Amino acid sequence: MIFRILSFAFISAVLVAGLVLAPAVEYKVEFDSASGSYSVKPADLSLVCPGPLFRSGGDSGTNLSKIERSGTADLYYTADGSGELAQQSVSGSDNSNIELGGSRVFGSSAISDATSLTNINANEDSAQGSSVLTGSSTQLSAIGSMRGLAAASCQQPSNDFVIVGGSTLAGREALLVLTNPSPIDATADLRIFTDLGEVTVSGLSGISVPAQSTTAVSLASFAPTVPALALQVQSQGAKLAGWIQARSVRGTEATGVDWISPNHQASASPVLPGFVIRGTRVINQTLSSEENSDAGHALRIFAPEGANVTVQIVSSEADIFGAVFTGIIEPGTVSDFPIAELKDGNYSVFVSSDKPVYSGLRVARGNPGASPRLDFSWVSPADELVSNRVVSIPSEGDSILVLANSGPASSTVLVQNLRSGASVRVLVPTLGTATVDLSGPVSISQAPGVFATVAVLIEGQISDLDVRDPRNLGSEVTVRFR
Amino acid sequence: MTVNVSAVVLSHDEPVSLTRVLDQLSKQTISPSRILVVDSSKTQAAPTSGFETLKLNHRTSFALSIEAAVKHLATDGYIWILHDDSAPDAQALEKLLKEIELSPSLAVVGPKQVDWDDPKLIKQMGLTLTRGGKLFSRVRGEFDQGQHDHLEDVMAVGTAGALVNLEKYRALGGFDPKAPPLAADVDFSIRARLSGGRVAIAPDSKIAHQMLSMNGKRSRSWLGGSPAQAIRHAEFYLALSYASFLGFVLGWLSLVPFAILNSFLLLVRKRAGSIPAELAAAATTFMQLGKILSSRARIRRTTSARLRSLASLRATRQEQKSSNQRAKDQEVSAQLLAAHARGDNDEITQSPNSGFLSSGAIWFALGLVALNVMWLPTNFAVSGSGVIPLSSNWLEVFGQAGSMSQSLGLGFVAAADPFSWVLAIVSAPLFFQPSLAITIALFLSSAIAFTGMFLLSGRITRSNPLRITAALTYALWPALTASVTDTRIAQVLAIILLPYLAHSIAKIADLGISNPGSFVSTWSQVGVSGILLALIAASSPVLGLTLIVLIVGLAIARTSKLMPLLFSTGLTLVWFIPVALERLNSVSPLAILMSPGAGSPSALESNWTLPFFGFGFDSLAFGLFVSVPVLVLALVALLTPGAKSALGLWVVAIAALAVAFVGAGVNFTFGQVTSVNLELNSVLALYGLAIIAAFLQLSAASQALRSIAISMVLVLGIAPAAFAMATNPPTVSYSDGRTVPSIIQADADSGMFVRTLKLGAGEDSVSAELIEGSGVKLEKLSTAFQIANSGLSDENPQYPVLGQLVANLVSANGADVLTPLEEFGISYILVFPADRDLQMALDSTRGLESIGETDFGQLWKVQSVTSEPKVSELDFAPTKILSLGVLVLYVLLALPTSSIRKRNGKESAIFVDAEENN
Repeated sequence: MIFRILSFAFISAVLVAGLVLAPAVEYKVEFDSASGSYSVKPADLSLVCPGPLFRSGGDSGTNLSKIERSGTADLYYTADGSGELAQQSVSGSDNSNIELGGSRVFGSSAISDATSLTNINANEDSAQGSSVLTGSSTQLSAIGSMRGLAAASCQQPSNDFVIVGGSTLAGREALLVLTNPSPIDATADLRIFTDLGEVTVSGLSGISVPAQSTTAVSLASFAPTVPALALQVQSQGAKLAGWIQARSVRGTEATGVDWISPNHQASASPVLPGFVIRGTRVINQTLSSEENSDAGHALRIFAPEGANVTVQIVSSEADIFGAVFTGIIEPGTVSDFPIAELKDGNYSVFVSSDKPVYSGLRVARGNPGASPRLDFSWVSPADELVSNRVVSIPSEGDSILVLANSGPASSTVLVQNLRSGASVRVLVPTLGTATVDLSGPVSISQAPGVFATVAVLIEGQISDLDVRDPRNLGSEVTVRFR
Repeated sequence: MTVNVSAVVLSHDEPVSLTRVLDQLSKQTISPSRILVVDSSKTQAAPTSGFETLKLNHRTSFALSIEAAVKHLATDGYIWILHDDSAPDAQALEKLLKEIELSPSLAVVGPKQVDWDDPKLIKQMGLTLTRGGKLFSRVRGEFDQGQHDHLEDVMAVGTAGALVNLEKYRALGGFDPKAPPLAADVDFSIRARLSGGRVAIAPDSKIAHQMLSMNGKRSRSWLGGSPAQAIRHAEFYLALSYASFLGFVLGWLSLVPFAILNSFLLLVRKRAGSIPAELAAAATTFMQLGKILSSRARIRRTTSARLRSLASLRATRQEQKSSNQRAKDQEVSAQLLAAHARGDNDEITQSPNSGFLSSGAIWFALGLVALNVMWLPTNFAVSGSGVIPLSSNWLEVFGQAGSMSQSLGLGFVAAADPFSWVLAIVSAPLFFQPSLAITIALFLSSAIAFTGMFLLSGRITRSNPLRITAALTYALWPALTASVTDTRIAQVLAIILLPYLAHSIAKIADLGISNPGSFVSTWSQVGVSGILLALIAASSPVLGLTLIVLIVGLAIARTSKLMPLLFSTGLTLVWFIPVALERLNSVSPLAILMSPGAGSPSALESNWTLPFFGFGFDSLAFGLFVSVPVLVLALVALLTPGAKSALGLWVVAIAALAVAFVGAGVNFTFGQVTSVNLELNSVLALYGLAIIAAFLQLSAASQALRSIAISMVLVLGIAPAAFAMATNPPTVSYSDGRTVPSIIQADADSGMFVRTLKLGAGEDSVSAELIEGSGVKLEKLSTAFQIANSGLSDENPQYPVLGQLVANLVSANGADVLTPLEEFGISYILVFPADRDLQMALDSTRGLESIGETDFGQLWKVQSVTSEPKVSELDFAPTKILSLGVLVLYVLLALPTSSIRKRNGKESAIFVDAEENN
């Protein structure tokens, strides 16, 4: 019995002592991870310009299956860097190369197709951005069914972008123009959002955009009689450049056309400078007719997750108040907020939202002496000037650089004409806007908190150019072998 | 007839038996004319007063002792040779002389040798050789009913009690002093035969022979080694002495290789104890070339006849067969008698319900299977966090076992995990669908564990309620249920095989209650336990190491079972040699203990919760409850009459717990990316097994305590654990075994070489994995790759190229990726999990054709790379051949013995008892 008691006591003691009192052992056996960090050369900087506008319906305007280019567009570009600048018609019909490395190159040409501008054979360590390559195209259309000014900055292709703007109501046309400049085929999947939510119809996915071609699709075939559109394009295969070509006809009178460019990204505080109001009297006259309720200015917001927004419109004139309003957007829907009762002038729009939203600003232009009497422009949210920018300006007409400052302090922006070298410093007050008249390609200095858009006014028509800084990032990629 | 007979009594340190011999000698009905005691004793003086004595040096051999006696006697007629352990019957000499009278040509006549204590038991009646040259006694250990009294002419007779014609003796030059002790008498008889004399048995003449030499009761120097060695030495010596010249040369040269080969056969025939004798005898004989040549010369001097002329006197096959059968019968009888003596038969009658079926245990096993109904297999191959399918071709599974060439990554040279042997063995019965074996093993794991524990518990108690409770407890022990939940097949296999190993080891070490009626030899169990230990160690190296230490400890404690217990670790050691050599030389030795297979072992903390698997009072982990009452009751068992056994089991439990406690702090880190813990669930299963076995010692306690204990475990432990098991099925999926998209599988199945680059987006990195053929299968996973690939990426210049390729691919920067893709032979790129950024990058890469979404991720085909026929060959590295060879050896050793356990491999039954006693 003594043996049993001793055994019990011994084992119990060892258990308790071992588990409670013994110190925990820590021993690490370390091996290196099988990984490496590799430098990745950035892809060649390539921009795609939309080319001439599309005319649908043929000469008669009734052949709905016929969508073709109309006229030519003027391409303006400037480049400065190393290697060569390759200007290439997307279809491959018109190519030219310009050696870079000396002084800045300025160029312009009339193009009859979407055109890519590519900086090839650049030095591996050379920077990218708008200071290296930028371009824009403008077209003043004056055919019977399509009149107005359409301008757009050349765009960096992407696999995924959102465009806010356009309408498919009677007399309105929204063509989705997708350009594939690469030698790889692409298919695009669309998601179309309206004031009632997402459109679910067949045919939205698998839209083919063959290599080195442009595909134009009428959005009315997917979403007819929709007053407010937004759409997301996701491509498989090659990256695509995309625009909506918006056109308006009131009665028999063509009342404007424009390219709508993609939003760069969803933002909770998008800023849309370039709200240049001219011809308010004509606009108001047109608005008096019920069927022309969309002839005025409007802010369009697409809120994928829904949003409560506060909109503040600020004038460049200190004595003009502008406007402030709020709105609620249901998740997945698109809402138009008409903007009226603003005098002629230069404004910027500041949006504050509780959720990331995509947006677009429809700016109307009235011109009693011109044909058309009305034109419009769709302004996309601007990028913050976190780096120096160069923007290519058409040589004709008036171009106004509209700067908006959403930062907590006023900011000074240096704007320099790249041809003449003349420069001007512009003070942009906090939550205010300022303008600079442009007469050629300019560089805009870096100014955190400041956003910029160029309004283009030619022959009483209006359009706008985004001030972007397209670049491909070289990077370090960590690869872990398994 | 009057003949002169001189008795020569050889005395060598056996005064007690010599007294009886001399006493019997004095009672002869016909007394010898002279009695000479030849005393070569070393330590004890022979009681030879009154007898003529010739004192010789204690090193004097048998042949020289006889020669000295003959010279001393200087007489004619016959000498009657007696040993100090061979006491003649009173009429022995008279009957021998009667034979002489009837046949004067007899050169040697021997008596019937009977048992020293039981004169009715015949020990020997002449000797002969088998056709294989082995010594053979036609009669051995039979009751004397006169059934062999017709025997007369034999090839040879033993010298104990032999009457030798001195004329013939001198003509033959006496016994050969060069011959080994046990060959001298046979050699003399053969030479007598070949020179025209007769050698016969006088059945009526009896001599009680103690056979001290053959029973190992004389000093080893007398025989020149163990009795078994002396017999083999004699056999080898005789074979070479009487062989033709060519046969002698070839025989001498092949002696050692033959002995080695024969050793393997002996091992297979469960006669491993004879191996040392075989090898030692062969080596000794090999070294005695001069002596053999001398003996051959002596034979040629006395006769020109050949041994084959005595073919008719050799043992026939039928005689050998009958002798083997008799030996087997005798062994069975002996074991039955031993079992009877132990009282086993009494227990059989007391506990008739000890079988798996008759006890009703099978219903509990089926019940455990029923608890798993929620994850009933719906296809061949199971996949989970710790298991992936095996290759569909069993040859590929087998090909990986013991391989030194790994196909992971860009391929590298390293030893495969021993676990690949486990997979090859486990899947072999279902070779047509290897993954199914894994699926079944995982699904039936609790029932298999239950059965094993039920078997093991039979060595501790005959109480069926206790056995079933213990078996249920082990089947629901958290170590197993947690491993099943994690689908960690390696752990599961180790845990479910553990009770079978414990049972086998217990049998070898003769621990616990032996199973009456089972005569499976120890060496069969060595084969079984060797394989089980290897399977367990390969599945869980930490548990394997713990078990080896415990088995060695047990072997030291049980020296009588030292060799079998140590031998049971042999296969494990052989399997681990390649891995051990690699890791001891290049990386941390602890890396040997890394858990094989898929998934990462769960972490445990080194504190008081360890024996409860991290059990906390705030936890609702019902499955862990069982560990509490069993621990308490196992401690209580220390206070019962079974305390001694319980204490031993607690030592095992605490050892396992200590290993787990220390192991919980060991961590393998691979850069900042991953870290892996030591796998300790299986060690905690050993802890569980030990305390459950300690709990079973309550069988020696009162009925009331037993009832309370069973009730406690059932209510507090088993019921909640069963509920948890039934309601928390593991997350598994069943498939047809593919791990790559169909298009890749089709290429691989058609014998094409396919290489796939698998990419995955991490938080701040991209993972890249090169997959060959039909994908990474369970058997191809390698801890060597895990710990060596950092070195590989530094050493193999192709890895930076691959890394740059991956970086360019995911960046879609327009850099040339097709050239390196073609150089690496990458036909497909797979992205898993699906990632939009990676998809966009690959979509925009020229030369890649998007195939789309598959079950295994997004897939692209590299258009310019076409698959080429694959040249596949099995990798038969020396380490693989060694591992396989030893595995086969253990399998043969473990095979059921009823058919093999015949003494057909040991034709000579002459001294079987002596051999087995060694």
